[in-house]
Amino acid sequence: MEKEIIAKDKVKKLGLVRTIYLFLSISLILMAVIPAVSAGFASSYVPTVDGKPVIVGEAGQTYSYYVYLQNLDNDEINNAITVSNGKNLMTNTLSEYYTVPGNTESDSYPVEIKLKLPSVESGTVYQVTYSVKSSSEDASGVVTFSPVGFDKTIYISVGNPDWDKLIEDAQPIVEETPVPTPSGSSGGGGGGGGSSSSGGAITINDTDDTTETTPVKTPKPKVDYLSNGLDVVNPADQPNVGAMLFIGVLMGLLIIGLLSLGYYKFKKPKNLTYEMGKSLDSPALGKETKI
Amino acid sequence: MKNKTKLTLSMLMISCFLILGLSMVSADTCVGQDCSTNMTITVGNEVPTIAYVYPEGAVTLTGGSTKVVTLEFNATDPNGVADLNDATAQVVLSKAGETSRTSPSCSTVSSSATVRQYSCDVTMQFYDGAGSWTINATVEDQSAAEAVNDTTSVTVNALDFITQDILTITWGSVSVGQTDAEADAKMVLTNGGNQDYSDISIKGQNATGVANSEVITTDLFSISNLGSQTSGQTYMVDNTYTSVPALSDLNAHGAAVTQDIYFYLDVPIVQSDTYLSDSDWSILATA
Repeated sequence: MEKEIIAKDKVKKLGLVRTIYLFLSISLILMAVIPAVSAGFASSYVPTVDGKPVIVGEAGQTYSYYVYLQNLDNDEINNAITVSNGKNLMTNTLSEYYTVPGNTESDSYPVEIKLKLPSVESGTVYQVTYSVKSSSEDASGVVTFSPVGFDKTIYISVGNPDWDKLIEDAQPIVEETPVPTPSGSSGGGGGGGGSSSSGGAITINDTDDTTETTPVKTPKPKVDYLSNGLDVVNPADQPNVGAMLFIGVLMGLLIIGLLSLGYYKFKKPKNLTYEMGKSLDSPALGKETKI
Repeated sequence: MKNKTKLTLSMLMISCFLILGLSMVSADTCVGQDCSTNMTITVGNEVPTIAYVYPEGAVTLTGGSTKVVTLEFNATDPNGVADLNDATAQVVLSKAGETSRTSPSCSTVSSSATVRQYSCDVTMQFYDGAGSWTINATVEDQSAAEAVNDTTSVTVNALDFITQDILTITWGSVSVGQTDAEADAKMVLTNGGNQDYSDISIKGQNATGVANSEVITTDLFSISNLGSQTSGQTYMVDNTYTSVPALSDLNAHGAAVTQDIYFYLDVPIVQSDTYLSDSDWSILATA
């Protein structure tokens, strides 16, 4: 009987322990009080076409799209801008992350994304997707969050977009090197026409090796400023060949002049035998003088 | 001879009458050299015009806050700038479907004889829509004749901005085997920009016990837009963004657009411990 009571007591104790265990099995402690955080950025306004934001441009033109990072907190924050789709249209390189000082508002921290439209047929539209994410505070909890990140998609098209010609992720684009065609060959001429009409101005490569060939160009002066906040950059992005030629000719003339001067000033005197007591200004200058 | 004399006399008489008549007419107001004449000249009021509104670059708003945009215009009044009623100068920014923003007053930047340059501050809100806003500049003269120019526009950039009230979610105490255990507090997201978010996705992470290293796996956490739920939540996938369709309130922008997020946990059989997230969870808002 005593054993039975003892056994019941044990069962009761075990039950109590089990109950306590059950209710306190997971004790979750808030390690730090984190105030409200905010994250965000502004970006160039892109007018919509068919309900989608589309930069309508011209083949070969480069367009600047801006992301304006903001940080309304007091402490600096790191922001990463990652372009996924359409990365191969970019002609500039983004930093791994941007340290945005506290209290950065409005458009005081612009990040430029330069997108170049390849020479493709009108209507071709490319999807450009990028994300902006912020680093997190040091916090501990069962669930700890980073500040909200953003995914954003815009489109860039050659002329008005034809959605049947949507390219979700542009492949690396390499400008085709012009192949000289034999002069006087009608067949060759036809071939040249074929390459251009088939959109041959670009070559789409499947190998990853070509991805790094996308040229990264230095910023060029803006030649136009659209009201929608998009900067159109001079598509030429080419040096002034005429000016370079002119400067080259000038330099050549200068070099020739200097060489001529050197010839008369230095080369000829090498053969001059100086005779003591005679002036170098003597009529013998430039001629061999026998002692 | 007689005829000539008669003609001469007649001419003299006519001249005398004319001189006499003129002297009678002016006799009341002009005596000697002290002559004065009351002249009343009525100059008609010329309506002022606003010939030029200074172009403004794209406006970038500030998340969750206001932004003061300064706009300037030139008003011309042929009657002189003194005829302009400065107190009536104002600029209104308007866009279809949006609340118009009006400058409370304008200040004078410079003036010439007939042209006055005004500067007006317009306060815009973070939720004012992106796109082209019409600048409507007006000023009246002292005769209440109004000059209007609404041919210029300004572009407002897109603003993506979300504030979250807490970064950490906790469960003070839960029991083994408990399902749909609701976290201590909900999270509130506030749209502080002018963009709409069609999708909110959340990437979850495992939580590991500090003492015993037991793991509460991500798939035991679930999310809803409502509290006290026992079904219908969206369960998380480890380290993978999972769309939560119920979180649709941010698909709009405005003065106070918020989204409540409630967290639930199906408690597994694990030891008593303090469990911490292996790494940060992430919320991804897709415009």
